Amino acid sequence: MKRKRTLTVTFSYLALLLIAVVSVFPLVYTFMIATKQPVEAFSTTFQWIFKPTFENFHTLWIERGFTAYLKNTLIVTVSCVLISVPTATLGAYGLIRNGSNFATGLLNSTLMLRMFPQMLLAIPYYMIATKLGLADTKLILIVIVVASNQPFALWLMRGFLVTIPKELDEAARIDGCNMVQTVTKVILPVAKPGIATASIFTFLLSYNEYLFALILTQKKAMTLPVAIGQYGAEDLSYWTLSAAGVVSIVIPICLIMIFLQKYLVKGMVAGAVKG
Amino acid sequence: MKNQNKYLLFSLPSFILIFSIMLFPVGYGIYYSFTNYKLGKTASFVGLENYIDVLKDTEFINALVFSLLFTVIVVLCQFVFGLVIALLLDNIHHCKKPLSIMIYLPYFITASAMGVIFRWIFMSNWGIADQLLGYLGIQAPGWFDSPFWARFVVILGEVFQNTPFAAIILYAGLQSMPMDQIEAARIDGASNWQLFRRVKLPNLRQLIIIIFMMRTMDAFRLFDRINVTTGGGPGTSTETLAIYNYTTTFTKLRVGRGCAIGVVTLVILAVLIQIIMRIMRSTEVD
Repeated sequence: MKRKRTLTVTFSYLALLLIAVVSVFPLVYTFMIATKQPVEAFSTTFQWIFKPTFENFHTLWIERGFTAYLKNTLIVTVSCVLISVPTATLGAYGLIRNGSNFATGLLNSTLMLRMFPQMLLAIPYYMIATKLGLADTKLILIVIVVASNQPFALWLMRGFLVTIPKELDEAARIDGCNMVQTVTKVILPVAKPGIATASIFTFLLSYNEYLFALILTQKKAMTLPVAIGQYGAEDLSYWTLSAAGVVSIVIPICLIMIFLQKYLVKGMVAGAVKG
Repeated sequence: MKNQNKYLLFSLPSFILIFSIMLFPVGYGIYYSFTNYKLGKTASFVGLENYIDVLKDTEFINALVFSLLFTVIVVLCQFVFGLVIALLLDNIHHCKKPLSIMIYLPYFITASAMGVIFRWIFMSNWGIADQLLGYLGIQAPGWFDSPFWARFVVILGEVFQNTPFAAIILYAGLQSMPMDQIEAARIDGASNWQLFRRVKLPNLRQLIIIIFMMRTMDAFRLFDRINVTTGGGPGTSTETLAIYNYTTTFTKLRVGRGCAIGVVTLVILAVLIQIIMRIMRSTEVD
């Protein structure tokens, strides 16, 4: 019996190791392409040993001006987090504490809003933006990204706030807090991990946004995901640059994964388990 | 008690956001689905003409069939692989953090970046896929020239990137499994398989439903990765409803039609979700 157990455990380690290697392999491969000279990259047999160079990154960021796309992406992403997370936190809090059937039904149905095809939102935005002269601006992109992320942020915060007992509110009231003070002095500090998680999640979702950025921005407000999708789309000679772009985009995500993985996992689970 | 409704004031900003910048534009779009609006021209009301044209369009039907097939295949694969990963992780005690970071990573990578990566991996002649198959002595097919293989790559990409979603949630479910039920079953002499089937799976039911629903909603609406990897090609063989909508609206500039396609997509997805909920409910055992 014990031997069978050891066999299972060993097998599990090996299987997981294999899965892990396969999971990171595409990124590792892309990193290798990104640090090769174009000449080496295009050899018909793949060179596993080579001398790495960072000149592709230099070309991409300094000569081709990818910093502009990064700037756009960061402005849109940070704005989205700053708008979306506080409203979703207060929104979920209000609905949970209200507790009526209407409110609870509303909270449970936020997940259903995810059914909406993005195109059904993107097309009207495109029409409205063109009419208002807001096409290709960061502003319109911020608005639509906030709009499309709000239901998910609500669902996330609901998962976290629902675990805060009403007694905490009551204790705060007894101590003399009015409704607003209850929130600021008592609820928010307790909800900090949830708010951190929702912020990181919203950050990632806005950062990765592609469809809306593709439709609503062309030159001035283009973001990284769109730039990467287009870069080297046709021309094979852009391969190493395109790889450098992918690596660059992905670095912040990897960093977040390595240091903040706990929050991401908690976020996904909180919404799901409490649902 | 007296303040119950005042709590809704806290939710007011959220309501305003959702109504004004989400539901209102969608309403606007639905209105336009009944017109023949083309970019640069004035619109006039045409009733259900857009809908009838769309439903008769072979390109739509192809996109719909592909979207449905795609969704069913990837969601099932993601669930099964995610469950396997979760079970494996549940079995081990060390190195969990580095292993899980590596395994979960694909889920958080920008979908369009992953699409670019997949396009390069499967590029004929230079892509690593051809090289690796070459080491095994297998002649690789022209991935993006054949509809079948292009679909394979696209399905592979979706399963690869989103399986971690199922894995994360199922693993959390396994970790929070009520130990008393497990112990009771072991005392009754249950084998591992019986333990799995009669104790673990039922406890995971709620999570499994959420996984199926969310993955279905996402897979059916997929745009990013496929647009970057194949653009819907070759021809229209990997065209999903979202890509079909995109080309109708922004390449052919038939905005009214595009809105109609959006509404049709929503309706079909809603029906699909209902079917899944029914199937899930009917497997309820106590």
